[in-house]
Amino acid sequence: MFAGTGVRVRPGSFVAWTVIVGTVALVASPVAVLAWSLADPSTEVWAELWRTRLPSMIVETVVLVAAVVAGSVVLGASLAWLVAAHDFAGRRAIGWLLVAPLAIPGYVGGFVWLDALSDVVGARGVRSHWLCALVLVLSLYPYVYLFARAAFADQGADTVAAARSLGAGPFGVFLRVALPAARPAIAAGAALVAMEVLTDIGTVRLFNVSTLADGVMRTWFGTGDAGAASELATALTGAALLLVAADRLLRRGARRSRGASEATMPRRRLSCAESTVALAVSLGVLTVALGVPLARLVGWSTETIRAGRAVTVSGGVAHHVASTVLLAGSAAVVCMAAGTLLALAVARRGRIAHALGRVSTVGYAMPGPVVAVGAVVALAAVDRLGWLPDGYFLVGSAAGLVFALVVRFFAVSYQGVEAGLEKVAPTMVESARVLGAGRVRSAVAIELPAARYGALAAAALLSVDLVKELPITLLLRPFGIDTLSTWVWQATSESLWAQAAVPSLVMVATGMVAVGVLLVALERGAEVVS
Amino acid sequence: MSTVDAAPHSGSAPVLRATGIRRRLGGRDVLDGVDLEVAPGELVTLVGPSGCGKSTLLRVLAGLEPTDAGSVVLSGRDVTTVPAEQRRVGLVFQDNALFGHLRVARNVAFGLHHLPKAEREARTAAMLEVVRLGHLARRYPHQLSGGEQQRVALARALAPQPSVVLLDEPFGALDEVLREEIGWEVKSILARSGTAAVLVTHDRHEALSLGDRVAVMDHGRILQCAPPRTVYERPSSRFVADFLAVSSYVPSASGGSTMLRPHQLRVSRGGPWTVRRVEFLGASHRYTVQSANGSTAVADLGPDEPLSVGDACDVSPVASGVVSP
Repeated sequence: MFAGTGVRVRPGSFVAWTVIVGTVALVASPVAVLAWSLADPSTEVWAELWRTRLPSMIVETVVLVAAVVAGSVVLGASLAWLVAAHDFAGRRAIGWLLVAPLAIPGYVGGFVWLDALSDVVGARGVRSHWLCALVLVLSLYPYVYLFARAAFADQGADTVAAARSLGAGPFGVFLRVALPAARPAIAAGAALVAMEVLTDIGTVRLFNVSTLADGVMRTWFGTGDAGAASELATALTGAALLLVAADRLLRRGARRSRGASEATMPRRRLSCAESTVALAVSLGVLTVALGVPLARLVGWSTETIRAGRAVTVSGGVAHHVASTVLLAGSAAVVCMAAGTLLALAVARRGRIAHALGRVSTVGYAMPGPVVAVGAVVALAAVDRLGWLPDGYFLVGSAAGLVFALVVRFFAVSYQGVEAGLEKVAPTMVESARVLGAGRVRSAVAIELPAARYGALAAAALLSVDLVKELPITLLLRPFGIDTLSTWVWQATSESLWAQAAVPSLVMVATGMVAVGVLLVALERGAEVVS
Repeated sequence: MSTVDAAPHSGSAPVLRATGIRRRLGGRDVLDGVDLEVAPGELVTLVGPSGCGKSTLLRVLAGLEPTDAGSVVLSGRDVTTVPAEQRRVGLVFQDNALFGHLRVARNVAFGLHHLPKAEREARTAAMLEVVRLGHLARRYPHQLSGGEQQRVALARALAPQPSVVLLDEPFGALDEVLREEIGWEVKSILARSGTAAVLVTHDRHEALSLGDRVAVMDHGRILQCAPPRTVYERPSSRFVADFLAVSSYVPSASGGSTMLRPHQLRVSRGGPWTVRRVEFLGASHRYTVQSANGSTAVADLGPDEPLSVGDACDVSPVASGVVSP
């Protein structure tokens, strides 16, 4: 009888809900469409797949994911512990550099090592599952490292002191206190790693590992059989969903253990001998993951440029750089703009809005080939409606490709901005309101500036992801358009390592800049999220 | 210090009048019919145990929380359904909620958005002078001490010249020494700017020393709202009496009991009571004494030669006290 007063429903609510529902529907549509089309699987295709390739694909995928995740967790978590809990000469620089391999895609590191090792073990022996896993570990461990380092640094000094006073030695503290407490963060990093392995097509192709993602690509290009490709995409989706479930399970439990006023993890000063070992280990990792690939790429590139061969690729470097910048750039801008709008609309709007917001991240939990297939199905449906002017189709257009890229990476921008906004104290927003600021002014003047480092970190991660993205670009790029990553793909599939060096180097350089920006944002208080 | 017994501005029309405010949250009446009036220039302190609804009441007054029933009238205007951004009240939070990415001057100017630039700057500068922080205008909030931050928050709230300022435990995050000092500072700033205020606190000393009137809340109701001396010496209920200070209840001739504060009781050597506890308070001792039938009393007045625990003693009131409600 006492009608809730008008305070509850504020002007702008309608706009916000329109933004939420609209964005989420658009971003989730390819996955929804795919799920719909897979509701009635064609039994013939399935039977054929089961008889032939599918079982071995599943085994190879599972083994590879398990090996890479295990390797990344061991390497990433121990390096993070070294940097977060110890003090030695060069610690700061090494702490930063250890993130840099993120800028080297697995398929770039892959062909460098393939070439370097084929002299040692022979061209045949080098194409092994284990080398493939190793190369992937070297390019993906930074995800675990970033998450674990933040989690270790976040653990309070008092917790460590308490453990020490109860008789735990330095290693005991790591094993019994720090590691279990960092488990949710490490699981988050491991989930990202696993997803990257599921979505990888470049590295596995180099080492002849037939994973599910590889199968989707081969089926698509080889037989042009969209039916079989999308059935394989289902299997891949199933694997991804299992992963998400495992991640949620592992991440249960407290996220934060440190009181606001408490000091952060104290760093133990290493002795001279210990410092040497620490330096040797971390520099060793950096050499293998960063130094050798960079040196090799620079060497090949100078050779190629001197010989004037870089321009022989159709369109030359300029075309590839331009199309990469244009495609990745527009996808990044759309992602950031839509992600920011959605995060603002969802912020402080209750459980339903948050749940809807989470739906928009579904693309990030889907491997690239799956998103590509889903986007094609969705875009083709729109094309069939005939709303577009004659002669225009979304499938095979740049707009279609950008759409698919946005679907795949939307979560990075949305969750990054959301994490930034969550750090804005509610009292701050309320203060702005009481001082007369409406929703828009509060968002522009208070919330977004306060979330700027979260957004910056998201934009940097997004750039790294977009520049090295391969499966979606390969499947959906407009005719005659090539990016740096597709150039590398083409050159490496013909074993023309030197040809692939120039675009790889440009890609790695771009990635390095983005990683630098990411590190700056993290220093200023942004949080890594997934 | 104001020790008058009547509300200081009881003659004039109230700047804030809340009537019959109800708010249900999580199946509980957090506010159960609250009435509150604040006169122009008056400082009302709102005190009560945690969870009594005092912060929710403040949020309702600010428009940050809707009401299920009742009305809020500000300067004669019914604002019950007016959203927070159009109410023109000042609000200061415990965590000061300063905008970390804006300099002090920009923080203070935030609510002056509608004014022309020159006027805005002049008002900001004047406001910073009122809180004596003009020299820190170019600093960022994190470069200031806790007390300075709280003064900036007050300046920001006062800048748009609201009819009433609401302060939600504004000194809760400060240490005790600073707290007392800034409490007085805030009171004098409010007096200088002539702004009425409602100050929420859980600290009874703060409530009694700063308020022109003290409103004692419990279970979503205001039990008594009166000048400090009145609520202290003539509490309307046993809860108010016990919440504000230690009290002793002495059987009275009329059959009820009389409430006496420690400063109204004197112990003397020898008698039917026994000393149970002696607290050294600096200038005096506080005695907790027990009678043969188990009832206890607390007294601040005693003999020159202090008693010890276990001594026999007697207790006598030095003032008339009030008949306990």
